[in-house]
Amino acid sequence: MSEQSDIAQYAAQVGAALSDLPEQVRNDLLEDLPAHLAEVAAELRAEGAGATLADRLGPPSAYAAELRATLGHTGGPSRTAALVGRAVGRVQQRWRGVDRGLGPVIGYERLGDFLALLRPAWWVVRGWLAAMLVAQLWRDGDGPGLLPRLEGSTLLGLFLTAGAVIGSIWFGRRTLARPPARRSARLALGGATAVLAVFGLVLVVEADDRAARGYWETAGGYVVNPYDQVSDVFVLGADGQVIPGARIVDQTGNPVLIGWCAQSNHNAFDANWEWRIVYPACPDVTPPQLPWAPASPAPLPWASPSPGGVIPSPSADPATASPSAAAPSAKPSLTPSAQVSPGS
Amino acid sequence: MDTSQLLKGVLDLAVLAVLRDDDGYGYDILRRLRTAGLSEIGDASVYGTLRRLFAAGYLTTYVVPSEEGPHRKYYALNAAGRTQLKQGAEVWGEFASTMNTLLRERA
Repeated sequence: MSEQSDIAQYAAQVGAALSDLPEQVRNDLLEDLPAHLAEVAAELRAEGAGATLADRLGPPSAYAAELRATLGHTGGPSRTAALVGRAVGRVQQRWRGVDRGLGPVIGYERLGDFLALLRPAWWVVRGWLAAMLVAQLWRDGDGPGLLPRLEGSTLLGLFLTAGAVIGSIWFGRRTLARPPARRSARLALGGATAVLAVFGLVLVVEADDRAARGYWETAGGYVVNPYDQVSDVFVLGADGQVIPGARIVDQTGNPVLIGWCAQSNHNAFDANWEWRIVYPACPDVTPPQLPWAPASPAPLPWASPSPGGVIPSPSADPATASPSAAAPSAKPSLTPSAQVSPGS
Repeated sequence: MDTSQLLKGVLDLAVLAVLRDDDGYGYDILRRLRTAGLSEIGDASVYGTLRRLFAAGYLTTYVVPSEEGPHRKYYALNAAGRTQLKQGAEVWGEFASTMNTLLRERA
């Protein structure tokens, strides 16, 4: 029957025009449509004027638009939608104020005009961030640098960055010309942008953190300051006795500051304060117990390579031994640990 | 002013109102609304509103066979629908009188 196929076709066209609605809503709306249209067709037949569905109801697209307009004015989920809509409206209104208010400050009619100029810059940054994120997923161990490294290779990382930046620019131009029509695509794009933005923020904060404080990076990829347990330093002479008021310099002759006391007990406004630091630097630290001094002389650890391999040491922790390496003349392997007091 | 814009907000109430005394099927309800003076109302608006009110639990339906055509789906108010109609009528009454007062003062 041509009337039946008319109805089916009309209903299908209405359904197609509503294809962007959520499945559930759409089904609720369309479930009864063929039966309803059949009723309408029966009325038209009864009127006997020979009118078709489209004559009476208008084109399917108009019918679909009218149907869509009836969605969401009874309670239920539309309340939430209304709340969200109002919140979005308020934000937009505030943004318009900022947009017009701040624009002239930097010489533009609107702030948005200026931000639009920055868009390609964002595309480049976005590509770099994407490359960093990919490199991060492959990385084990040390924190990110400023260039992505793939399997430790900077060259591979640079290729990755170049590819990601080019891709991002291409994608940016595309989405600018034709914004994604589907809601899900727009949401996905927004979500991905948010992830990259948060990742970028973390990256910058971490890099800043690292730049602000000195780091000792070991081969194992774990970061430790070997001197952070040292509170004071005692310099020993060849006779094994503590030299009071000693200064330590590095290979260029600049004073070396080791230990909390040396680093913190100073007046920063004093120009040459580094040179005023002498060791031991803490005012009230007792010298370590040295087993060879003074009464019962034991062999100095560096005088004869200890026969039993037993090195008298005030500290068993090898990490605290390292400050001696800062004294340029000492051979590190020969001065393992004797001169450092354990952190208290 | 475009009546269809005003109608959007009160379509639910209008449909509930024409079902207060008599149950009706889609096309019949459209005819009642038009007869009552809402001549701009479209079939899709009525159909969509009926579906939504039904989904919201304000209406019940039943099917009546028809001799010379397809079955007709009749819509009827249930208790929730009557409550909704009563509340809606109160809100509308207040709103309309506010608007009337406002327009009289400003005119």
